[in-house]
Amino acid sequence: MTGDGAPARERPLVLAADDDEDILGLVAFRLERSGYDVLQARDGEEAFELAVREQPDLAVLDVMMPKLDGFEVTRRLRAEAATSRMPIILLTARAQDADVQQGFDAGADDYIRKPFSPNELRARVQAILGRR
Amino acid sequence: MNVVHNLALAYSIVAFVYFAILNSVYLLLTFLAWRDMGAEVRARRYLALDEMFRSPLTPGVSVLVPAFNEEPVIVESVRSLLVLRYPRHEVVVVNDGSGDGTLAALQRAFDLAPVRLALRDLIPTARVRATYVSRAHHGLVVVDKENGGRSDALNAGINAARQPYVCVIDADSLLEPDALLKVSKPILDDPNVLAATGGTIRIANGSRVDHGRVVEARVPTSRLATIQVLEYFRAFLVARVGWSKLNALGIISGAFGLFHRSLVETVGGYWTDTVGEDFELTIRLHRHLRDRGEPYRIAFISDPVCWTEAPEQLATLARQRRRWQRGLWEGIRRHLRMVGNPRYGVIGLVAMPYFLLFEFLSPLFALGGLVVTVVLWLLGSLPTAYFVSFLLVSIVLGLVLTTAALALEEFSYQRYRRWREIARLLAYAVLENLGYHQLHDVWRTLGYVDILRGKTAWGTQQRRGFSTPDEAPAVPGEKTPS
Amino acid sequence: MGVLEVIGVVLLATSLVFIVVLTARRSYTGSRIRRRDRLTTELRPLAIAFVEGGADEAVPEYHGLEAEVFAELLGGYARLLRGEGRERIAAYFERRGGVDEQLRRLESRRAWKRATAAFMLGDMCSHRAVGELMPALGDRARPVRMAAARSLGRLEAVESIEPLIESGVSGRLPEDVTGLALFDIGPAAVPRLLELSASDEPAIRARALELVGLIGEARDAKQIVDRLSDPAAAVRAAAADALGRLGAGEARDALVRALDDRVPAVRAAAARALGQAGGRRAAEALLPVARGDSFEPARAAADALARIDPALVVAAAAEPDAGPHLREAADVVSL
Repeated sequence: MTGDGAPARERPLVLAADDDEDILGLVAFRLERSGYDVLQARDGEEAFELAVREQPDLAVLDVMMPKLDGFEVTRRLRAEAATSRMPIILLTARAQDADVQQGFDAGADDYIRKPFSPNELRARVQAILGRR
Repeated sequence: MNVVHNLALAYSIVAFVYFAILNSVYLLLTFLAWRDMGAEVRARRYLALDEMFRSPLTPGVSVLVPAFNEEPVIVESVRSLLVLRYPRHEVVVVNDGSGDGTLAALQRAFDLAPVRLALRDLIPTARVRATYVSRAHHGLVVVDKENGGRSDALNAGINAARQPYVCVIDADSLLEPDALLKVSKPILDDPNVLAATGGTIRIANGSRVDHGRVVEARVPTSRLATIQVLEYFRAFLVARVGWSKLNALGIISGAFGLFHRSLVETVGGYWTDTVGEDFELTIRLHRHLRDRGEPYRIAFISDPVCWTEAPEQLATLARQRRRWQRGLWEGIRRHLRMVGNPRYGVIGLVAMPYFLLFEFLSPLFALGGLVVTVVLWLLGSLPTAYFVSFLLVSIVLGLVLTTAALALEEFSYQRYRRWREIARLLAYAVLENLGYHQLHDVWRTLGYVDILRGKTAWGTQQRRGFSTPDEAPAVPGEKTPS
Repeated sequence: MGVLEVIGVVLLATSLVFIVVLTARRSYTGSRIRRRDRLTTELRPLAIAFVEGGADEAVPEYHGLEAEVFAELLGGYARLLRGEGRERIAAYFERRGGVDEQLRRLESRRAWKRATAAFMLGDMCSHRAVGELMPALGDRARPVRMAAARSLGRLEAVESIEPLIESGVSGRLPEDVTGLALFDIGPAAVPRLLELSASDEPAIRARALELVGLIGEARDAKQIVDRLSDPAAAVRAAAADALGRLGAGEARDALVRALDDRVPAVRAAAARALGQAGGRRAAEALLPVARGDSFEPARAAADALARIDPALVVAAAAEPDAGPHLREAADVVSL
């Protein structure tokens, strides 16, 4: 199911990181209802630590977070052997072309702009995890 | 003897009138600030900052940070600028030939790589030695140049800037995450009329700082810094709001100001022969725009906040205030023809004379007048009634205005959470009249001496660095009795 | 002495009044804030469940501060979401009378009340408000017009496309506000914008082109290529920028010709667009611009070349006549 060394699980584990409680709650709710377990992080440092420790199957990251921003977390996860293949979706209001470029350069797999449709987020998560 | 006595009496009366006018002006400004605050608080409901952040149409801003010997603070400051909530911005740090490890600190913290940046040469500056970009952080540029002073460094920053707007910041400052959005919004909503905006400066001393953000605002433990908190409240939350409403804002602080880059280039950039470059540029912009004859505004926005480190040592603070006096004089002298000149509207008729009489010349009236009045009263030449009313008009009225400024902050921003902090501020509102104001006037008088002697240098700054959650706010051994 | 005493007492009393007011307000707002924060944390999961719920699920009923906090939470989600969640939010505010209340406030005599109402209607997600918000675009107070424009964008009100464009160009509204509203309305606005790109007014043409670039799709590029020969420079530059964003394969030749435009801003825009389009011809045409043109076009050309052919940039930068922009681009490419 997950060929990169992450433990096999009953329900896939997703890491959601955002400093805005409203978004975090919504994303967690939607993903849990769609059959995933969700870890929550409220800043970039926490997100990185959780990702390395718990090895989720996918990470959904906000960009504008305190301590480490989403781009930086992505870069660091790509640099770590254990998490270098972890799919990462950036979910953010930073929507300039340069930001999207920076996101993909940092190693993200997908970039969703806010305002967003939770349905679409779920669909993209499913698409990525379904591939594995 | 009689002549001297009469002159002294006249002097005292002039000082009396001076205080009466000054505090009346302040009363007017306070009234305007209160009204504006009401409107501003209500306007927050429909401010639409989120829209500005996510809009692809929002123009970019180049944040300029001139740095001279800022090693203890520069990295934290730049970090706070890189994470600003703004859709498109770059940070241009100009190392003005620092003698300490400023550049090295930047190189270590941000993984700088030398890049031969193409620089515009619209404004002449001292020689640029090298330019760098950060490999780790998108949008950080460092210009390393030979020392030329703050104005020169800013001009080099303008030459390197790539965005249509420039935001000028001090190297020891921390901008709040939304500050750039808030200070830019009025200009971006009306770019043909708004020429420049400035934001509020607040004192960070003693506050909890984490990763470049002031997490918890606290009143400083240092007495000197606490008094400065009150000064900055009066200056920013009251005075500048009021002047801005009258469209007579004479100064956009160099510690937090936003300008159209093209406009600053058109007027020739910052003037390098002054230590009050922010004041002089603002006046020059007013002059240029009024000469051009089109309607314009230069506005102060009280909501966006820039946190700065205030001097806690008497010697450093004295140097700063003496420097401000010199800067004031240099700017006024350069534009003397504007003073009292109806051609320059409310700037010429109100703002410039105010700066001249009530800021630059104030020690003459305030300190001199107070001393003379006290002496005359002690000698019995003045009726006690007169003496008491002198004190009322100068000190007590000032106290009322300070309390009003505190109340204003409380109603609009409420940054200080604890009771005892407000109590502390109130106590110092009284205490500052018993020694600090007088000392301040002494420094400013020394500023006259500097001017007469033709002093030009900036003097040294002493940087303590921001406190972090792990450190106690006051570093042992550095506290100076004030 | 009596008068002075009175004045002194009055002044000191004024200070005391301020202090007392300060104290009272602080304790009042302090507890209010704490209550709100607590309620927000409590109600947030309920708000989420509601927003994510099915169309037939009941609309909850709250009162007082709870209703306020719940409404704020829903308003926040309205700003974050697209899609079905917004319909649920609209159902809440319609059922609970929020929409009617704000529509009434839109008639208030105080400008700030009208502006607040106009803004909130956008967050209440009910399309019924569009009929009242359109006339608000012509309100005498600017903040009201701005809030109305923003909300019409959030409501994706296709009916408001014309008045939005017109207000932006005429200056009644800031262009950044109308632009974003049109961007929010999205692809539905494109056909009308394409028509307007042939308007008599150069300002309207430029504006329409800029927005087509942001909202449109690749197939819209065909219709704006001929704007590259527009008599107005601002329009030519806007057309070039739009073509760059849309994916300008077929416009490549026209963009290369635009590199010779006599206005630097147009040359710069053409260079930027070619950076997106790519190709051998583009690279060849960009090289002399990057070497010798004035600052903005040369800068744009060097950046464009760095995107198309980094190796070429590095090679060209080594030559003596390379100029500062190629050298900068080469250094950046080599990072």
